[in-house]
Amino acid sequence: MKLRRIAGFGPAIVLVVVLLALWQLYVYVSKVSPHLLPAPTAIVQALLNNWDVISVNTVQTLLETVIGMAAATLFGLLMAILLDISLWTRRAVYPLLVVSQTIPLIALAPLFLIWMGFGLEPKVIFVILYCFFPIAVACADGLASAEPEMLNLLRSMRASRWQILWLVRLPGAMPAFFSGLRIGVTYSMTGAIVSEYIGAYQGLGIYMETSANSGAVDLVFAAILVTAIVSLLLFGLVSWLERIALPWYHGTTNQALILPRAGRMIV
Amino acid sequence: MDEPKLLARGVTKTFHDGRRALEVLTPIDLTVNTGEFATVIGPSGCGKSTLFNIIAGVDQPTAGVIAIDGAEKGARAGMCGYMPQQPLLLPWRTAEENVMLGLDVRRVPRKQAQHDAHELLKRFGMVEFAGNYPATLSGGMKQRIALLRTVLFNSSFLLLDEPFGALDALSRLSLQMWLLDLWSAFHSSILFITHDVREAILLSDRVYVLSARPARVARVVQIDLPRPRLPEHLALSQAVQLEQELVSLLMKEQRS
Amino acid sequence: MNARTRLLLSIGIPILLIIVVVGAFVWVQRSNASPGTTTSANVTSSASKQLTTMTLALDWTPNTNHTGIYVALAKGWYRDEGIDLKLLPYSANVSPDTLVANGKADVGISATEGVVTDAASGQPVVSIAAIIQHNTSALVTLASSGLSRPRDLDGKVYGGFGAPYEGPVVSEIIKHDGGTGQFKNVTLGIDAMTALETHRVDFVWVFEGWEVIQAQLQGVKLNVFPITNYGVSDYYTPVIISSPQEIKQKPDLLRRFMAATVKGYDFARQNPRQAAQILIASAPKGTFPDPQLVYDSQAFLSPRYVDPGRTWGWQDAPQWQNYPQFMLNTGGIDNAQGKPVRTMNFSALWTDEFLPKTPS
Repeated sequence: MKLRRIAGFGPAIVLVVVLLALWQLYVYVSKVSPHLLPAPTAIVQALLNNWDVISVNTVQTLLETVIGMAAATLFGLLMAILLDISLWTRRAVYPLLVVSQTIPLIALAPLFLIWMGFGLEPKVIFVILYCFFPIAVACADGLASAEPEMLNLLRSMRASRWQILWLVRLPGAMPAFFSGLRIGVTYSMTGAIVSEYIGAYQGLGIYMETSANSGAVDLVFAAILVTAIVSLLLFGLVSWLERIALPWYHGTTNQALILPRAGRMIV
Repeated sequence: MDEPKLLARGVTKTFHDGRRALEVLTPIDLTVNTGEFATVIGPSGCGKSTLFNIIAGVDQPTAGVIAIDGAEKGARAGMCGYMPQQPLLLPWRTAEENVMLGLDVRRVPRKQAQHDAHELLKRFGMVEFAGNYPATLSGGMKQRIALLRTVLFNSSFLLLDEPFGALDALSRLSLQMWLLDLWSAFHSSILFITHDVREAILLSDRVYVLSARPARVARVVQIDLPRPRLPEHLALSQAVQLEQELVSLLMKEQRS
Repeated sequence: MNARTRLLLSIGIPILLIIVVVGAFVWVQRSNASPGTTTSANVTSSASKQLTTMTLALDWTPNTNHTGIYVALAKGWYRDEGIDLKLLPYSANVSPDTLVANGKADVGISATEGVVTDAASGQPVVSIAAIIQHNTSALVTLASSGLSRPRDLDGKVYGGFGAPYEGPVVSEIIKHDGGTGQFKNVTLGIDAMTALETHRVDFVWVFEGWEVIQAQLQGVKLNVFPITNYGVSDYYTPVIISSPQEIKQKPDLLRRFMAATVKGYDFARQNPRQAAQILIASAPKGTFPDPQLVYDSQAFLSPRYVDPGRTWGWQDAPQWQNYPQFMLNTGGIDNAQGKPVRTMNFSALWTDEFLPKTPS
């Protein structure tokens, strides 16, 4: 089963290798300046040479990311329940949530810096703003999709509305919640980096900014590479958590989630 | 005989959709005696499920009185074991955990609820499926688990809404026998909905025939077949006659 | 695995991850604490003295304009003055002027243009020292472009940094050389020299002490037009700034800061090579992919920090009068309501009161 799952990533790996090879070839043939487009080998070299600095910055960004993401998840859940409680709260809150996403957050970041300084809090808040929305909306939709028949059954058992929420509606909303979570976690690291880009003592964002200004484009790419890998790992973690939390959802009867001959694939 | 388990008198229900009023139940009078197996049959869409919802306390009648165990006032919810048409098993709970659902709502301590559910599964031959998720259970199994859930919640008064409608003939028969087994074990009072006349005759003591919408009680028929019932009893001349009577009555109601 | 276990795992694993990451963070911070590098807010405990923390916002990635500060940091001169100086890295989206004006940084690095613009928009800062005595800015073109003098720049594309006064000033330079002063102005999001080398723009505004030397080292041939040769009055850039509030509330701190900073720049002036080495060692790793650039730039800049016979940092009135007035006259400096500012009290923009000695 494990081997099958790893084999499921085969096509992606092949594609990535092909693209990297083409990239390497292009750089070699066109002799483009390393300041403009470094070769993949140069990027890996730069990553290894500067690992001590990059790892420090990565840990900083990772800290902001995981704390921000955890907070975003809680906040998203809370918002979903709030939207679910009554039609009035839904009407009042939903538009505000949508507007919060239409504000170009990158324009907000300098204000965060001025209001809250260079520390951890503004970065975490930024990640929350960046990530909570898909979680909230997906979970709210999941809550709303509870079968009326099921609710009748619970009511016939004299269940209170909180019991119904806890016993039936929230667990029933978990598949939707997780799909929102997967989206949120994909953007979480990017959100942390964008907030650092504005100003920070350390972190991959400010590291990329500084490297770009020094003309060290290979370091920028190295940081991007690290970001991509860590984001993938986070995504994988959420998928793994989903498999633990919802084993019933990924049983053999759920064909839509399983690609043919590929075992469990992240969809 | 002491008071009936269920007494419904003059129950009406009208739904309002904007300015339109949909009259579903015109006065319904219905009783279920303690320990009795009563069935309601009627043409499709006549309002059987609406009646059930009202009795179960999920919905309120527009007029009329409903008394369970003689109590007219007070919430009816929680006073009967209600089983809607779908088994409605929670997919994230195992069979045993699903059976426990009613007790969880009642806040019975987990250990106790688990024990009770397990015993019930054992008693009725389902214990080997205790740890299965609903996705791995067949239709018949799911219905059995749902029935056990209903019984564990309240074994004295059961409202069963076409529980065997979606099953094939063989499974249906097996489950009907199983239900009778349950009924005698718990001495429940049962109010059962079906549109299958033979099923009604096989299972019940009394049959209420409802008219088409707006529903009223068209006829009450006593079933005097021997107990305990067996499938063969349906071949008795008494049964055949009843069947013909009820079928023609239903068809008349269906057309009107 | 029953529902309870699953619930606990689903919550437990993320919490475990957070704990691991926090642990890694703390561990990395502990093992990386060293003076001179830009560390995080976790201050490492110093020996016995109570140090005052002070923040300085950089205007760019570390370069030879900043050498004196890095020297003073490395040699512990700020510590000797009781200051724990933290350098805030440059960020394109928040200027040192904004950080200083809002109290998020005690001091910062800016230029005359910045100081004048800030005063006009109602967020004034005050220049407390001039880092370089005379202006070393220049317009440059690629030698291969054939644009060999400012008047050739008519109708060409200028890659600027988006300041409103840039256009008029560049226009004056071209006109001074006999051109009409008309050209296309684009704001660059990328490094100016990259834009020039890839032919995205025809000319850019750079520092002679950095980009020009960098181009030389890379073998890129440039035509260089120092702006003070073409009708632009001499003015100070870069300068060290602080906010009026800081000046009112912490004059003693500023005085001590300047004392150490002056020492740093004096050292850099007299020992260019050593100072360059200190800069390379102190800046975050990877800042200087080519150390030779730092050495050459330092050799160019060190003598220019201050004129012979004077102390570093001292400012004179004419530099704070002529060019600022010229900027205002172009009509490109607006106040907070968007109206052009024509007059200003220039003496409020600068002060020498925190510098240690009188100029000779």
